[in-house]
Amino acid sequence: MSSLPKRKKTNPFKNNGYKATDAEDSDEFPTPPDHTVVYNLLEVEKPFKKAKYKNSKRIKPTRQHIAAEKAKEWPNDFPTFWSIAQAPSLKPNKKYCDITGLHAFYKDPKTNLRYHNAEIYQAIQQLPPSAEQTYLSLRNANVVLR
Amino acid sequence: MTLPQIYSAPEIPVLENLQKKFTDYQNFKNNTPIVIDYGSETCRAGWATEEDPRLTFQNIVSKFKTKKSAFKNSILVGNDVYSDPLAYPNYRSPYDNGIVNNFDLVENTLDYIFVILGINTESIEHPIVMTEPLANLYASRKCMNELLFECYSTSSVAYGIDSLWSYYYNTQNLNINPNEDSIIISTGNYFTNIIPVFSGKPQIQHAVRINVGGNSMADFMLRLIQTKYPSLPVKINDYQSKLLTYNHTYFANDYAESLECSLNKNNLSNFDHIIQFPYKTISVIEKSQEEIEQQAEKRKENAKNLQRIAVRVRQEKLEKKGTEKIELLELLDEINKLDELDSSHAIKIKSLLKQNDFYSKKEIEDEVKKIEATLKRARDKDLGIDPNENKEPHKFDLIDIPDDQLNAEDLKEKRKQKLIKANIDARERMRLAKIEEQKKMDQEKKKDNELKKNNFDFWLTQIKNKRQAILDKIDSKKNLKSELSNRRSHASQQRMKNIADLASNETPSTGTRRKRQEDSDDNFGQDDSDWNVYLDISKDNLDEDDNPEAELIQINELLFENDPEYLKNLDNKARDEIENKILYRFYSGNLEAILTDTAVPKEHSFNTSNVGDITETGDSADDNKIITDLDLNDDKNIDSLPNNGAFGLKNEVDEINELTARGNQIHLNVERIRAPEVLFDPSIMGVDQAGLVEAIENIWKKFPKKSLSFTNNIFATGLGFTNIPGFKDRLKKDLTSIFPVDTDINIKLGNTLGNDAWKGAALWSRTLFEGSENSDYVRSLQSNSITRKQYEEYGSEYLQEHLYSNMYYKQQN
Repeated sequence: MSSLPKRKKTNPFKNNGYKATDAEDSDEFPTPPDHTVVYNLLEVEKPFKKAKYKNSKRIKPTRQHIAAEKAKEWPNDFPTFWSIAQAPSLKPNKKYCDITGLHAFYKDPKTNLRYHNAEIYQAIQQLPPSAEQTYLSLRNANVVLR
Repeated sequence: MTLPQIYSAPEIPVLENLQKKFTDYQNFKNNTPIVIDYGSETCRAGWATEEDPRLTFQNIVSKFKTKKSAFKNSILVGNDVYSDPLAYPNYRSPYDNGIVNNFDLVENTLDYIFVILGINTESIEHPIVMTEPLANLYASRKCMNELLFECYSTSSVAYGIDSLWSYYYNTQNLNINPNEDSIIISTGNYFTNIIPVFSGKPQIQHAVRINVGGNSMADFMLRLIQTKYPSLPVKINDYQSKLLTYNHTYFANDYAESLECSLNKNNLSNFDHIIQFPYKTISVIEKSQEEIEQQAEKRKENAKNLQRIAVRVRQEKLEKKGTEKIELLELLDEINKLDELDSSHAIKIKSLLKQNDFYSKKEIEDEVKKIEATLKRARDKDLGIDPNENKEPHKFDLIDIPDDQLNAEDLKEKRKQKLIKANIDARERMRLAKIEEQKKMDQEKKKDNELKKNNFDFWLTQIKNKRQAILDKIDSKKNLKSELSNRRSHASQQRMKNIADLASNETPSTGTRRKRQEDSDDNFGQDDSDWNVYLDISKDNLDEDDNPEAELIQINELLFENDPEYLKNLDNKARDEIENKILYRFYSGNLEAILTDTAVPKEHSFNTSNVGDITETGDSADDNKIITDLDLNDDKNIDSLPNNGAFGLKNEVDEINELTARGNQIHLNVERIRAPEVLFDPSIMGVDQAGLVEAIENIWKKFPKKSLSFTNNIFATGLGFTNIPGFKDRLKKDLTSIFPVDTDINIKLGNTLGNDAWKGAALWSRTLFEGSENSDYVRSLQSNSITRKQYEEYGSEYLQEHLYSNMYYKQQN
């Protein structure tokens, strides 16, 4: 087992170096096809697969699956995807400024934005129309038109 | 001031080395289980008999058309996606909201795994051990089962929960006693699960899920940046936001307190992280003396050429006039001749006139006179004779004679003389007034200079006051303008009122009816001041003779000559004022503010030397956007851009470059602690659920007799939040506050965090094999796996429960 070829670990999210590489020269890609790697999954032989099998291409979004399964009957103590979701907090919500994220002591009744102090209130007054919705959407409090 | 640390923005890497296929498959032919940790962020796969997974790749698939010669439609899986610049933008994940739902992509990833592992048999003869999310949906498991059994004809598959296998792995080497109470915190990509363990047995029915994970945190971060810098010229992608989140955030030990001092000025230099996105700089090409001279020479020559052309054109015009005159004279001669001969030629004369576009003989004569006059003027000009020189002074002899003593012709002449005289008098009066004014100005200047000489301080304060007055004027003008843009402001309403008054015939109801009737025919417009009403109602006050901005520049220059320190102080004060704003610090960290309108005149703020042409060093030009950023909330801030010397900027070009740089950078300060805080307070990002600590508190109540024995065994795994700095300390601090005093709290992080689940699953299958008397993996795993027989018998939703799996309930249909 020890004679396994060492694989280079390439976890892109562990890269702390921020070394930017040039992404432009795609033509310099190694041209002679190398059979030890997978260039294109479509061109690789997959002997282990049943040729008959056809995957259903219909993809339902998760929330449709959930809605369908919710409609079925489940025992009370059975952990389902929706039953194990954490309930809302019983403690009063902490309020944070929608613009800066600092503590919010006030709320603008016109835009519903929470704000930290008078200076930020002034900035809110100068917001372009409907820009407050972008800020509100950060905490899902925006008005959604259907 | 310490120079701020600037981080360059992360970029999508280009992968050089593709994943190599393995060639040692023959060693694993004896039904060695394949372990797959099918995570939503990372997928790990390998042989159960080994310690580490063979493959670790980002669980994404890209289907795209490559530009490379050999093939067109392409599918790349995992980290190979980074090998083609066209692939990454098209990537997709088999997960949707934490549940596997795209089985087309699952098929691709499984194909990839089996190909890389080097499997070349006709079916997958190996038992598969696979992870699935906590409380996985039946629909998802059903499709997975179908795929594995129908497409790959595997012999059996065992599903388990990733965090539980990770827990299992760590009971072996993290001194968690496998028979004790514990709590598992699993922070994943989409969700954070908390599973209690009673005496070594995981309690799925008491588990809880918070819909917040590493992915939601990165997504939140992206949205924060987008709302903070809506006009950033660069588009930030998921990859960058993920890296920014993982490299720049941390858990504040005390969130409230950290927020409090987050934007403090002295704190900011460490706290504020500047992320610089690439931008184009401009530079100056300096010109040598010789080149400048050459250019001057060229300019001179051009001017001369133009002059020559002008002279030639004039000459040609004159010549044309000359010939025209001759022609006309000839025409006149002919007409005269015909006239003398006989009066019967009248028709012929008429047609002749008509041919030349004239109506009468007199007209031709006039034309000839006109041409002669022009020619004479031109000749005079060439000879340098003043046209007024030869003119005799006007005669005004008839003016004083009463009308009745004159005949009709003289009367006409008198009127003419009167007019000319009035004209000349008026001109004279104007000239005198001008001289008077000049005198007055000179006097004032003299007075001013005297005052400056004798009482400099007083003079200076006067100037300063004047400057302030101008500033006030500019301010009030701006205010009016901004007020007029708002329909509900007082100024706008006043304007509307004026317009309405003008439009209606009804005058205010004062006076008697007759008077009002008279007023309605009020001769509006006869008085010049009437027209000022349009100034009142026009939106942009068109006071053209009044330009306070220009005056300000003048006065600034004057002040700079006499008291430069004063202006510099003013600038510094303005800069300080901007820097002291919370919003400025939020958007621009502790960078020095750049002012658009410096009090110190612009040309004095740089050591402008030899400025040549400005050229761009970048490839293409789109620098109009430079200043657009910073923020749109604070107008003052946008005004606060250009500035001077403090950066050691040499000239305006440097300043422009600095501005471009700033337009392409983002500042992470509050966001650094705000993004990870969603774990402890999901309501920050609008998820209406209790945070991690409250969830643990609730689960604590479910432990038998509210036992606290689990606090010594709080086990955290998963890559969602656990590797964000400060996680452990923060969790411990918050837990301390909910448990009784002196509770021993021990938070244990998984060994390798990411790989623990895979390793646990591999270890689990090995242990089962070693514990049983079977010589075969399929048999040893049988009691914990869905076998082909069970799949066929119980339906595709079936799940074989075991200690580390989800629970199964057979639906009655």
